[in-house]
Amino acid sequence: MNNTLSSIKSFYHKLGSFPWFYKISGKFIPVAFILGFSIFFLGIIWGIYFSPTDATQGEIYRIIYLHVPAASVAQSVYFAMAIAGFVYVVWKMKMAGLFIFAMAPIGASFTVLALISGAIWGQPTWGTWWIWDARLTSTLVLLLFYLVIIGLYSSFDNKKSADQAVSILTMVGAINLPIIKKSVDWWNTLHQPATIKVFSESSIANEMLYPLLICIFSFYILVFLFGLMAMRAEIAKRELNKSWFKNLILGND
Amino acid sequence: MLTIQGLSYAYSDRFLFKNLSFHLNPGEVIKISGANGSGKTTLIKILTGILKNYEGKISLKNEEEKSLKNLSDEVFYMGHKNALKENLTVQENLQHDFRLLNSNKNELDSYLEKLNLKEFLFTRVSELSEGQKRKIILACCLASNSSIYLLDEPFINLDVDSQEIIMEAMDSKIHNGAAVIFTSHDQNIKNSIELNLNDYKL
Amino acid sequence: MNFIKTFFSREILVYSKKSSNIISPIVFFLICITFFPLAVSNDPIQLSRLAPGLIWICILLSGMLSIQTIFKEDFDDGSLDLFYAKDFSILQIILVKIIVNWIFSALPLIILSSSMVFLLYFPLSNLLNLLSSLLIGTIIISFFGALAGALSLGKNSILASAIMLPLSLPVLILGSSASTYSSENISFFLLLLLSLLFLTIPVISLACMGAIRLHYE
Repeated sequence: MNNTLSSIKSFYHKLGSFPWFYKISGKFIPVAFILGFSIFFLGIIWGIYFSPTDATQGEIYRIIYLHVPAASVAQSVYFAMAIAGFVYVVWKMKMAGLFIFAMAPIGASFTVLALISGAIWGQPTWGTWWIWDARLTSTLVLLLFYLVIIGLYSSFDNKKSADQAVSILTMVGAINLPIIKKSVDWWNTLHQPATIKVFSESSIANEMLYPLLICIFSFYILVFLFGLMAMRAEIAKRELNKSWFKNLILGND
Repeated sequence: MLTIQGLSYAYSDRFLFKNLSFHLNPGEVIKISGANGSGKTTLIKILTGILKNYEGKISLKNEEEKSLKNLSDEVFYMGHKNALKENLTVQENLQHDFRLLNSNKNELDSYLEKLNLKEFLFTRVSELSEGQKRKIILACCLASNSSIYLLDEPFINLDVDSQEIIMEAMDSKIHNGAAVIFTSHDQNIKNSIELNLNDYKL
Repeated sequence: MNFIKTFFSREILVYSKKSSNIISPIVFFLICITFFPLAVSNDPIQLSRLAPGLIWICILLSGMLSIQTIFKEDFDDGSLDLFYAKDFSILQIILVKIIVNWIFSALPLIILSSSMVFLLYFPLSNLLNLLSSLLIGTIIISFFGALAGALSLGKNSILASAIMLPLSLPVLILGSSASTYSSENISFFLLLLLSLLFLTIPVISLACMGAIRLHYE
């Protein structure tokens, strides 16, 4: 019992230490790179060439192999940031603040990908590039939250204050996003918009589902990869003059 | 009565001062000096409890306090900024000022008179000079009955007559047991112990 | 209690000294409202349909401008330092400031919105719904604006608006819906707004306290 407790404690301390993270992430990155991209290519090639044509939508539906993973990842990254924000505010772990800083641009990029791929899907399928339904609107607002977080962070000179500010805002946003989605939902049920029911919950055939799941899984690995790289780069930037960093770089040469 | 042990403060991964230790007893005066940016204002803010991310111990009367906040009624803090509302008159500011909770109204009036501020009682603070604004706070300081005074640059922008009046009044307070910590570049209160922050840089 | 009274009277005094504190929100609101008949359409039927949303948008924008600076003055002139030094309850200070700001900037606008019955042909039957939704909604918006102001203290930027506006979207949606529909649905929306209010006050007050404090690290 004591052993597990102390090993958890030491893991926790290691997690908060920049040098340990830098070394460990260096080992993980090549693995994640190979794994992520190979699974992604597996999924996308299966999805594009080998899965059947959709009865109603034809070939264009295949964009969901990009769109759904992107949207899923965009949301998950935000909630991971919110949890990191909580960790930062309560335990003041520097790594948590770094996590938020590193992941925000990644999350924002995937949100943009989700929005654009969604629009490309929408136009030929339902005749419109955009519709103000709950899902699309809340994805747009998610992008806005990401951008505001990036902007808020950059407005501070002191990194500690920046981390704290961004942690508070991310947490508040995490509570706000579901509320926005629900309110747009209610708004729409009252207005009963045009007969378009975007993203209808029709069941998806298994032959289409499997490549989709593979693509989603690969996106998560890729986000993990990009996150590691971004955090590593920021650690390098911050710790450039520290002795541990210099020793590591010079020692490896 | 006030003991500081091993006080260090870092800002943006750069230490301002390290391992600062001193005592302050009733009736003592400490003058904090140092180059610009050496942390004089920061030290005062730490003592008042405004800044919290320091390392080290601050203890009051041998019990460890996190700062002087628990004694906030007995501490008078005069910061670098005036904390006066520019749009209100002097009178209105003094009516709502939280530094006057522990002070004597008659004393305040007499000090305002001595410092030539009585005539400006109904003028807007924004129309006064910097020195006059400083004098208002000093009048509040002199009128208060605190046991510890933390003053950041109290003598800046003061004319010679006012300086004398204030020095004299502070002297008598110190005689009666008050303790003072102040920062200044040049001016001095009699019998002050000098604490140079340059000695505590890394 | 004594502290709250003193602080409250101090805030009221500071606010009432500048007539622009009352006049500017009113002028801004009316000008914004005027944009729509002039730039979009002055057809009474169209305006009447759009009116609830337009009123809510202009209230939100006007609130955005007036709430963001509630902590700025005290931060700049050192009063906030003094409050921390004297160990006053920052929570009480935040709440008093929000209430006083609401009295001076939001309350006049809520009363003024009644005139939209004439200016925007807002249907009289929905007026009570509009006013009650505004009453609750403007308080929620004030809290979000206070948080935005607290996070961007000391920075002159449009950032505070960028923080506050996305957060205020639910209020905009619910409030506008509440003002559009007749009495059957109104209790539903008002209940939602009220629950949003009860969620907002503790969470955002806590966030504000943390947000102001982080400028002292």
